[in-house]
Amino acid sequence: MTGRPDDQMPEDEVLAAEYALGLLDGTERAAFEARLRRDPVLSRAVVDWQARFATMAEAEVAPVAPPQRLEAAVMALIAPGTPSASAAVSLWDRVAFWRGLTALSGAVAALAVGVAVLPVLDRPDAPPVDAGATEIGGIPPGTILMTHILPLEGSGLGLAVTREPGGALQIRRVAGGPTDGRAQEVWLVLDKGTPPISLGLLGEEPLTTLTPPPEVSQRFGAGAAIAISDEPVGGSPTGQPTGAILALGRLVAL
Amino acid sequence: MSDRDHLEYLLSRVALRDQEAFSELYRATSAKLFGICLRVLVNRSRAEEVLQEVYVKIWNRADRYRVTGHSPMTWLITVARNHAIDRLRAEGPPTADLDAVAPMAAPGPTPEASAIAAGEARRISGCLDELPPDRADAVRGAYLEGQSYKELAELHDVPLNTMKTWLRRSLLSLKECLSR
Repeated sequence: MTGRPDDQMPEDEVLAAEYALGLLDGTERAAFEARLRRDPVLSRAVVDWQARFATMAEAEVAPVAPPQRLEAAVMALIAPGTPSASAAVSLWDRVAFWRGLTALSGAVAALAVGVAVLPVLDRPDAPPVDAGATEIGGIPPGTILMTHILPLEGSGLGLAVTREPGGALQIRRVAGGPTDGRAQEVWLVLDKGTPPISLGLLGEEPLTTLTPPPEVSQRFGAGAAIAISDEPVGGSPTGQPTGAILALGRLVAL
Repeated sequence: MSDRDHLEYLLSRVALRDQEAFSELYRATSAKLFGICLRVLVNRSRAEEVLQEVYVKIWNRADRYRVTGHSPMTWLITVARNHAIDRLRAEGPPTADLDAVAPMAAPGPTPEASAIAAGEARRISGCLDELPPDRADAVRGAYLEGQSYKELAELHDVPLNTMKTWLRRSLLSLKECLSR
């Protein structure tokens, strides 16, 4: 193998197709996934194969109406308060749900998430992005980190969070409001092994500014997440989230 | 509003936990996804069970849809197919996870992806027909029946490495045909 692009291209195309089909064995799959995490072009190849195969299924598989009763069953499964819908998932698992977002450029990730937060706006087409400009690690000091926080469990809460270079957090409500007789507490979620760190309570006004102490502030970075939990007035009595997670979003660098 | 735009709109509402939009999405797409679950799982009651799981997944992951660059139907079909195959294999490792891949992809539909969405639905069957019939069946078998290389080799009665070469060449021919 000379390593010329001509030789490499078909090989990666084939691997992408095999990955999309689920044909790679455990070792091959792990090696391929490790490459996927670093290689947006390879990832795009997988997405394109998924699209081709889905198109094949759409063209060749006849629709079959499911029995009427299934619709009611599905609607019951996703109704608020149904544990299987979402509640029985740890906070970190929720954050892990967002894994990979930091690999997108900040602008695109913010856009992608922002669309979900504010769908009343026209759907902007994804802007052209220079994949080479994607910065994953090594956030330079002074970088603004921001996230749009997605509502969960029908909380209706939508928040835009900006972290100023000095460390202050600006949290703006874009949807939803405070709940009577309850507090909404803001948490920094770092990784599975680290308990969430309380950043304070959301105020009732649209804009809340929180200034975490330096030892907390220095732990912010792209990849960390901000979560909002429902708590008794005054905040969590235990120092850890005790109520429902109302909203969650991952920080990206702008 | 085109069907695609309408599904896009419904998915954006579902990402916000809009149950009415979800119900409408279910009615618009469940026959297609049930067809796929049935094709993969064959057994009707299993397919019904899996269809429910697929829609719970769609409900929980609709907020991820936009970052994938897929068309709505492609995303829905991929979620359904991958979940049905995972249930079929039950014991084995999960198949390609949309979440593991999609957010990494260079965002936005590539010219190729747009072509896929627009023209390939009509052409893909024609391109499959250009392959020798047993090889086209192997591609279908891998996608719609979750067959492994080993199973495909046994089914077509060829050595494992021959099967791998067959399928890889078929996939590249298919891609070539679709990009014409």
